Amino acid sequence: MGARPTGAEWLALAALAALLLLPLAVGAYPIRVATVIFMWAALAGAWNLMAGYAGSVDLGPVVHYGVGAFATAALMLKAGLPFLPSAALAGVVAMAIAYALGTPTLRLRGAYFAIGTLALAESAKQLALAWDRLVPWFPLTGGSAGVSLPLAAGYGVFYYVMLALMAGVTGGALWLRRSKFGYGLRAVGENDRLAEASGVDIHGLRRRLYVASAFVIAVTGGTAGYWLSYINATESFSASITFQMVVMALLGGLGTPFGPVLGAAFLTLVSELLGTRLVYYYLIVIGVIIVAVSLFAPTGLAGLFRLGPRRVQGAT
Amino acid sequence: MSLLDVRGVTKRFGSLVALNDVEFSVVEHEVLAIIGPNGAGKSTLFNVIAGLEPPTDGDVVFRGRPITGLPPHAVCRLGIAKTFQIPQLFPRLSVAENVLVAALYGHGASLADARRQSQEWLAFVGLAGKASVSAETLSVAERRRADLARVLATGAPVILLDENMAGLNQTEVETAVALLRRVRERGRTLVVTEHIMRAILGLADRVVVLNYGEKIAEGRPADVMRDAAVVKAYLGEAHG
Amino acid sequence: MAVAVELVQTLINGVLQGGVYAAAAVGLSLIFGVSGILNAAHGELVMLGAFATYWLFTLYHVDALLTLPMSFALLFALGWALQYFVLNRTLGRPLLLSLLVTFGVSLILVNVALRLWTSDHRMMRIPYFERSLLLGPFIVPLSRVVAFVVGVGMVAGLSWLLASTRLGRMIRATAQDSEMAQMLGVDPRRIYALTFGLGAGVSGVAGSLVAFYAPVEPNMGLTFTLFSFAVVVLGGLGYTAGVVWGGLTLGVAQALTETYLEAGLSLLVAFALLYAILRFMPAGIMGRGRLE
Repeated sequence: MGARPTGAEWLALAALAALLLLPLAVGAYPIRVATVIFMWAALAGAWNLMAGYAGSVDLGPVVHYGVGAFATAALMLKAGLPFLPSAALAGVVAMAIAYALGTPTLRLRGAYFAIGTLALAESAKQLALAWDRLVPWFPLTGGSAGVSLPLAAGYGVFYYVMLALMAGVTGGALWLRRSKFGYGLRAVGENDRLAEASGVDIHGLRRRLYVASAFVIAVTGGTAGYWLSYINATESFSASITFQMVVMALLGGLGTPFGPVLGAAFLTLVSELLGTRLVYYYLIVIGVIIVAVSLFAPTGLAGLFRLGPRRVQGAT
Repeated sequence: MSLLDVRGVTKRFGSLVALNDVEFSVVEHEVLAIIGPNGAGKSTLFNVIAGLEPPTDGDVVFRGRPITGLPPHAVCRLGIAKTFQIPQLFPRLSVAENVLVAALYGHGASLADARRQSQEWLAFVGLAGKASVSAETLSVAERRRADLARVLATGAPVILLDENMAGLNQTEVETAVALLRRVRERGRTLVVTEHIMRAILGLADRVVVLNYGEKIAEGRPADVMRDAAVVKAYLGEAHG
Repeated sequence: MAVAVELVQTLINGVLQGGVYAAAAVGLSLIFGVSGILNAAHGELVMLGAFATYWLFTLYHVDALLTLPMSFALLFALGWALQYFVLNRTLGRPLLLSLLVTFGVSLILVNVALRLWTSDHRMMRIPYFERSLLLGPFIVPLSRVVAFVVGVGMVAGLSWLLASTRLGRMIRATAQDSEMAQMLGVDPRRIYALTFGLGAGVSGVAGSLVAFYAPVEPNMGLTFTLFSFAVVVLGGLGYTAGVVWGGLTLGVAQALTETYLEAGLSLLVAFALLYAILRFMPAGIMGRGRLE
């Protein structure tokens, strides 16, 4: 239960310093790939906190992503705000929505929570698709045609924003390992009824985490939308985003701070190698990986490299 | 000065009446035993007091304040903590961390204080050597003691022990009783349910007897054991 | 008067669709009730059944109704193999595991289908189904009636099998207490495989029925997975006969949305309904579902 940084954490800090300087050393393509990795590491990392630490399998995290994307677009296009404040504000909007949706939803447990969050995300997608028809005096989503955002000047801002998000989530996971909040969450994840009987407000704690992860996911969504200069309801609320988050967290090692980074890096590189023409093959490979890892290597890549929290074994 | 009052508590599950108008008080610093044949409603009663189940009717009052219907974590923080019949753990956390959670959230201690308290309570129940191992490696008897340490770490003045000695052999029972005496010396109030009579009689100041969800006797152990209704409840009509 | 006609027509549409939803969901319910596995690839089994019928009819000119038992056989085999070789390894482990593994399977199935058949929508043209029955002022397409009758018949047949046959008793015994069943000479792994096969087969036939009146494409599975979850929760998790209530509720709710609101909102209504039931009536409409 020590509070000093571990060897792996010092290494991570060094890696972060190197990444800050990376754009000076390499060209546009590696930077783009790195940005994609950071984005997925942030998303998978946020999902990993809920599922891996607090034991709550959320199958609808994409709802925050879509909210972030459209809120950022609206703030930039309608309120004329520059990108960074828009994304940050969009994150706050997403937190408010997450609080409102989370309060009833987090009363569900286990399979019901999983299905409930999935239903929530799919409802959000349908609502977003129909929004402009339902609320014509405040169009937001452009229906199935979507919304175009202004073109960005360069790619540097995306690199650093995504890097910050990834570092923030990973740092958060590391902080959780030795904080009161972290112990409470892990207690909830291990045995929520026991946690409750020991004085933990399980609903309140889960909601705090849910809202915090919503912020990260939303800002990521907003940043990705601006990066692509285009968003639409079907893609920004797509279950496939949830799927990727889940796979990467699982592959990297559920409940470990560096697992999502490893999973995101591995799968992004696989995807780059297989290329966009072979997207069906990529997804088949993902499916096989999910099955294989779940059955045979549930501790994921982090387990292989022993980057998990120190799991203390019994005396025997 | 009664610390905890159970007033007219009734609990129905559909058409099954698990508790019927149960009423008694618990005095500060005493050891109260709740006994009765299997199915008498003892565990249900504990669940109602601890907030795990709402009563169908009646109230639970703690320090003069009604706590009926409060969620379990609130009841715990206010001052009533319960052990589990089948000892519960946070399996992949260490034994020390299991107790730490209770000190952090039940007692509300700071992280540094909670760490210290966790070590102290583990030493108190005799598990100091197991502090850094995974909780899931503990034996049943050790789990019972870890559960006790957890409950003590919440700082709750009232501790409900739900058959804490079930499955223990004679030596283990004696150790457990000695431990509970020391808990009582520390100023806690204990409400205990048990099937092991010797433990009860040696430990309890007063006894409440339940049968089919109703209170049929209350008083000092020696008196209650001679009560005709109690004998009948345990041994059947033929001996009444 | 016209209002009443429109309402009753809507209800008829809803009931007919609901029967198919029930048939599509009963497999999911059975599998969950017996082996505790929440099958995220459920919709893909429906999709494969639909494709089986489509190809048998289009390429080999098999009579449409005759494709049904063939679809059942194919999906039964697939389901049995899936459980026996893959999913049996997830037994006794947390729910998340089977959810993730079946989710991986669904990714594989969808993308193999996309690779083989592309994302084109395909529609069966069955001459003798292209008629509609006229009951007074009400129009009822024959294909829909056939789908409803066969679908509900399958649910009834499955319930009968579970309640009255030796196999059904073995399945129910394993569901209640697999250790006990094992001591009585039942091999739980075979039962789970058989159950999954049954569930998959029924889901496949449901897909085949859908192919009679709706387009078939590899991505149609997700919607059926979600709808089936909704039907199972509405009817009560673990209470297999409840799918009829769940299916009818969902079907009617959707039909009402399509007539009185707009077609695009029917999915939203379905999911909002699912969410509401999870939150406020987790034991389902009839209150017979299993709670966590």
